[in-house]
Amino acid sequence: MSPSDQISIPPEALGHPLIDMLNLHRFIFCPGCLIGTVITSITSCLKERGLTSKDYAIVSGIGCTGRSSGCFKAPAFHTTHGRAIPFATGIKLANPKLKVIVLSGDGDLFAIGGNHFIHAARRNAEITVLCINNNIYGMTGGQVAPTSQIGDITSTTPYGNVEPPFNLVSLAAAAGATYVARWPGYDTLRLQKSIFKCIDNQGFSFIEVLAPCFVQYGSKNRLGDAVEMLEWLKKQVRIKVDWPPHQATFDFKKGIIICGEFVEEEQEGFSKKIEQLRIKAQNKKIDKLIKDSE
Amino acid sequence: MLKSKRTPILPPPSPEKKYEILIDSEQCDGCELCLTFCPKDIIEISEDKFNSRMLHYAIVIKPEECAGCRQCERLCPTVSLYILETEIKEVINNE
Amino acid sequence: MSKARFQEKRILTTGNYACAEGAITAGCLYFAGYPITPSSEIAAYMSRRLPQVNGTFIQMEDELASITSCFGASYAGMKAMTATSGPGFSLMAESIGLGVMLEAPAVIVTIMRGGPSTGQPTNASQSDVYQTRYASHGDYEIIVLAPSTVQEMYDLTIRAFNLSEKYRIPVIVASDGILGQMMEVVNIHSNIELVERKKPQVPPEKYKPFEAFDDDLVPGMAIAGTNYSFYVTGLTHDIEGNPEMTPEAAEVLIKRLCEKIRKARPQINDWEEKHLDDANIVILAYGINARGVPEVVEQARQKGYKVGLVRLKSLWPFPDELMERIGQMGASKVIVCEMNNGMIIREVQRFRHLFMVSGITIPTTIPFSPKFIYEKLMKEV
Ligand SMILES: Cc1ncc(C[n+]2csc(CCOP(=O)(O)OP(=O)(O)O)c2C)c(N)n1
Ligand code: SF4
Ligand code: SF4
Ligand code: SF4
Ligand SMILES: [Mg+2]
Repeated sequence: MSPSDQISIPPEALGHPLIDMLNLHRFIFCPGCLIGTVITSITSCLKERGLTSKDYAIVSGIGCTGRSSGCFKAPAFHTTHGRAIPFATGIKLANPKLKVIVLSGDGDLFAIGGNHFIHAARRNAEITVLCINNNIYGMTGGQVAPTSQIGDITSTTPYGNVEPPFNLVSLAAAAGATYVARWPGYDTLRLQKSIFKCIDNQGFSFIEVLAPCFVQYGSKNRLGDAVEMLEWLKKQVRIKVDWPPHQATFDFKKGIIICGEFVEEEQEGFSKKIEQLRIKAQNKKIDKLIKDSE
Repeated sequence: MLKSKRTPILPPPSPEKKYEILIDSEQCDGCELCLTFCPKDIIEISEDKFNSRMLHYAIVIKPEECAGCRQCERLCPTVSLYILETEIKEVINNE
Repeated sequence: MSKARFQEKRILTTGNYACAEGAITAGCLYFAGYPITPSSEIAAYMSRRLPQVNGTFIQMEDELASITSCFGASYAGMKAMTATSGPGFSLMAESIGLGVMLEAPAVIVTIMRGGPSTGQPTNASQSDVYQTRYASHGDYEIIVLAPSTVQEMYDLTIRAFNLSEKYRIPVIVASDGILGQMMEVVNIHSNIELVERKKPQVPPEKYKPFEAFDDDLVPGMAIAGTNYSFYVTGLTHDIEGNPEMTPEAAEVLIKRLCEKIRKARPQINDWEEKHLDDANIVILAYGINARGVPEVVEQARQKGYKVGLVRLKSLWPFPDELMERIGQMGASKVIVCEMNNGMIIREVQRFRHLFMVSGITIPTTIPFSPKFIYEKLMKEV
């Protein structure tokens, strides 16, 4: 087949298996940005589990990753900056049958929304949080993020960042997440396996996905284009099995990024506990409520 | 272009399967992710053709060698590429 | 529209409890809050009551989370409420705009206390009247109700749920520290009308989340967990929910969002009036501060002064029609009484072409006594 034969296929004939579950016109990401890859990874997991739009809801905050929720043909919510997790918590508690997936950026989830993250993890609210970690604020023009490394050049740290970053894996594990993993965004197979585990997990699950932003982070730190940055990332990634979360090194200087699954435990989720509260409350049969409350 | 190649978990070679790589040239951004991670160098960015958004898109150069690992399909951030798997027997029957 | 049937009864309770019970009556099944004086009792009551009616209570990590999670619950089909006071309301400001944009029904109770900043936590005030209206950025309309009695804490909370479901907008109940804490007898009626939100009017394939078919400009609301797929965003969007950055898109969307509330003013606005037909002077008050006014009016009338009374039960959207009517009925002066430096008075002043406007506007934390208002009134007649 010659190259020219390829273009004769009309787009309609291209029945991409995920096309029914996605809104292609809302893919607005830079060419080569792995946000799109993560969206399709989630979607193919949902599809493989046989879930349809009535079974799940997607919530995102603000930022490049924030725009991802619109790509899903499902109940999808683009909320305010940092508030994706509380919005998702509300959905989950109101309808515990739904699989609620939060897909948002590192700045959104860990700077402005950091408080919500640790509390949702502490509560073990049954939501899946995927953080697209690009070590920078992508959408607003490349400012320093709580995940930017020491020495990183960003638009607000022209002389190099002096603040040490969060290690998201250790943070999530310490806050009480019951599933914690970190994967490079190009490692779609492992990422998808992880997403399956999140969907099945009856608690707070967190995956940090490394998806370099070549437009902001790459250009400012002279790391090249999308493909070159992935090569740069790939050299540093070490995949480990049964590695403790506090040793999940993430260091561009040393060139070591430990990836893998760090926490996997079973614990009763928050909405189950609320259900038990209801049983407890209803057995008491308090009739004169107003009197009772005084 | 990547210097080191990732070795994907390739499905065992199956003589009965034929893989067709379908690319939506309109949707494709020409980002090179698919070809970068393809273990068999099957895809390339067209040098002379471009789509309505003036982007050079991915084309398939040697489809017969495709191993069907679907790495390209999973990676494509624009949902423009997918692998159509056909059993060769069926194809013969149809003919 | 559905009806809730209750055993008719009379109970002695506080404003905060009455408000919470009103929410339960209205079908509220989700409460997210963060403790703050003087509203904390609402959360405490809900934490006990909601599990009994299969609802969900959650104490969130802050008010930012409380309000956003209410919108989440609302989009999963539950009637949701949060309660706070000025400082917490400030934190909710951004997300109130989100609620307006997403057209998510929810009720926000704010028990006003002295401000600015931490102010006087244990005292009452009416200084957040502007906050309830203008807290969030951007052009928007919002509904704010102002109860004056414990009975109204109950009634207006139910009404707030009905309005928010009907117009798909966050509705604010603006009460204050005294009303929240004081006890009065509340009549629980046996027959209460409840409004449920408009459902999608078309099948899932044709559904566009912001397409309004009816004259009321309210689109049917799909919720998560049904066969409907929809994308809702705080970005300016078209009827399909697609983010749209054109000036036209902004105009179309903002006009509809504002118009749906402005149009419904006759249905939303609510007030109590007395002796308006022959009044020369009208005293306008609302909330806790209105409680002394009827006595003043009666006293003045006994002395032969033609004084009337208007007590606003809804503050926003502002009842322009009422002001015009006061003008037409021949009143020459309106005296606005409020426990702040002058907020509602500025709305009334827009009608200075119809009547003179003066005010008793003091940023105090106790309601004006009838004696005090009477003295001030005597200086005006
Ligand atoms: C309250 C508020 N503050 C600031 C902003 C501006 N803002 C928009 S996106 C963003 C940063 C997003 O960074 P991140 O979450 O890392 O997402 P990315 O773009 O990198 O995917 C900021 C600060 C905002 N929208 N709202
Ligand atoms: S700016 Fe960065 S994060 Fe945003 S879409 Fe482009 S590459 Fe991705
Ligand atoms: S990964 Fe997708 S968008 Fe990128 S070049 Fe390949 S087909 Fe085109
Ligand atoms: S399926 Fe595998 S071998 Fe075939 S084109 Fe895609 S990446 Fe290359
Ligand atoms: Mg980022």
